[in-house]
Amino acid sequence: MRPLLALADVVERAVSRVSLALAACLLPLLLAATVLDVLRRLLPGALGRIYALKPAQAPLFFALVMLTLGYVYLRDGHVRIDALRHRFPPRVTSAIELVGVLGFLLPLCSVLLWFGTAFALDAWRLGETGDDLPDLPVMWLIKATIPAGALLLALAGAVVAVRAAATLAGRPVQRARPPAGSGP
Amino acid sequence: MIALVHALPLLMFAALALLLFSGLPVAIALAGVGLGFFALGAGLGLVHPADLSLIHLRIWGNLAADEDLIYPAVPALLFMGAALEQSGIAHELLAALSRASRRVPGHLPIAVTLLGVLLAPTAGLVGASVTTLALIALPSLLDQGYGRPYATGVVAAAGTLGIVFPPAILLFFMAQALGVQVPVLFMGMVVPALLLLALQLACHVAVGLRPGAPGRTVPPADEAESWPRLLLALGRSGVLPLLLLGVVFGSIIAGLATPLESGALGAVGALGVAALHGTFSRRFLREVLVRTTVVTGMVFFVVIGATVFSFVFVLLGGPGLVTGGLEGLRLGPWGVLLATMGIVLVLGFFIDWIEILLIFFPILVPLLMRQDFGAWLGAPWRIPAWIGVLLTLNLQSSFITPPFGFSLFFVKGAAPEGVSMGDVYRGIVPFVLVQLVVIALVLAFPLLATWLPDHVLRTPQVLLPNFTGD
Repeated sequence: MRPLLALADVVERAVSRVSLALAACLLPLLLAATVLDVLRRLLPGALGRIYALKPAQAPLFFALVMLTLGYVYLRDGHVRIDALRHRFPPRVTSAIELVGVLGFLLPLCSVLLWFGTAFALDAWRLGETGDDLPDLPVMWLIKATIPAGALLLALAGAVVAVRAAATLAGRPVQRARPPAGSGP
Repeated sequence: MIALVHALPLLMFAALALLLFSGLPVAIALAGVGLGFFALGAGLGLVHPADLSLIHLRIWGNLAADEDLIYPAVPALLFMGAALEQSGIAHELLAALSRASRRVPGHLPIAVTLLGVLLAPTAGLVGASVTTLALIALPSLLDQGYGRPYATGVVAAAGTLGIVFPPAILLFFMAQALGVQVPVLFMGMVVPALLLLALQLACHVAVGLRPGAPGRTVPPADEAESWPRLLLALGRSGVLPLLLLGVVFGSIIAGLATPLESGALGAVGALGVAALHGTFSRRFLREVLVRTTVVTGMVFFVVIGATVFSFVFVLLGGPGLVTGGLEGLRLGPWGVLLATMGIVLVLGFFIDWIEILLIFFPILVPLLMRQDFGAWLGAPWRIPAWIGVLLTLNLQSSFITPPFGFSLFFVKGAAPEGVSMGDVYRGIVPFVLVQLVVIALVLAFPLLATWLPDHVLRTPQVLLPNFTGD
């Protein structure tokens, strides 16, 4: 159990770092692309050459969401209905979480990983471009965030599952970081 | 066996209810029920296993192919809210508002309510806004000598008031769920939201006027507290954020900007507010980024889970079953409306608006939208805005209605020791009455919700060109 828990800590750090670094790029890019697009409309000619601002917005948002799902799970940020949960003993919550990850989350991730990979590969082979981006065959990159996000989410799920299993085995885990402050 | 097959969609809901209360993340419960019943349906030969390859396409279609850019506006608005919150304006504003209005009876509760309106529209979920407000304002209210019931009531009502003030995020999802245009719902909410605010403020003044009420004795002006300083504080923590919200609201209404554009401009403006406050730093940026990311991921994972759930629900013939069942009851338009409002009220006791809008609205709303209130409203195009406003108020009321109201538990959770659940229940009663009065008014006088969209946005011409003959 101990090496598994140590591995879980390593995976948690890796997933968090990667997701947060990606969010730190994608969110400012989304805001910047949007603000620049407004400026371009207000000052015609100033940014005339950059035509990809508008079509970039929805993909940037999509990538942001897909690639941070795992990170949010690691921060215990996903919304729960905890009317009963805080009355359960830790072993019960751990058992429920273990079932949730193994029975529901990992199957979901597998489906997204399997079909999402094919989805992205097709876009890559066809050199698919965005609707308004005739010269940029980058659609595969955006579609690839489905399997990539599913992989990060599955890794996060594995970390949660290992810790839940440890609690069930009588080795409760001290949470490494406090839960997210802003979520309910 | 055949009965079981027909009942599968209903069993989905039973399974979902069970899993939701197990305390699993809502999104995981939704996806789990969806996939589980897909497997069951495939085993019974009701669905084709190959349909599994459509799930990622549904998610893609919902999130990435959103041409109106409504969902992408959510992280931008959350960023704006997080930046405003982290800039530290709340404490300064509360102090400044309270001091500036210290001759008005009930000035501190008034300041708390105004703060709730100002901060909450971008805060996102009920729990977050109520908790923030409780942490900032509840200790001062109790210190000033307000009773525990009233003080907690003020905070719960103020924190919940903000979530329905445009440009609240709830309204984007409500508009999406009902198929109403965002500006129409925004405009429709203006009068009812201001009514709620006015009635709450009237409560505060009435309480403040009672003999022996706290704050009756006007505290002497602090020596160090000069008017220029107070004005500066009010300006940078009150007027600037208000202007920001006004610009976001106005540009969406006027059709000058997409919701995403308005939100992004608001986000940049909020960074400016933080810079003026001297709180802009690497740590600040990191905190804002993390908060925005966490709430965005939380909200849209529920969207993804709900996509999986409803995909399977539709495959199994759920919508027809529910609509057919409800239609079989022959409730008539008013019966359907009141039944829907009742269901929403009960749901709001237990779960936050995001799940209600994403899971239950797709099932409840189609039937409601087919009901003919044209005669009551004077014109069919007013129906969606009116219903949107009603359901928004309805949802908001359920969050503060004892004994289960969602916000009440959050206030209790963030309250100092000694505050009991009974205090919270007693304190919220006047504000629940205020909600009921406003809902009744909107039901009885639909003009409250429909006049502004009609006249400012010229709804009939914009929405339904073929109705211009009116």
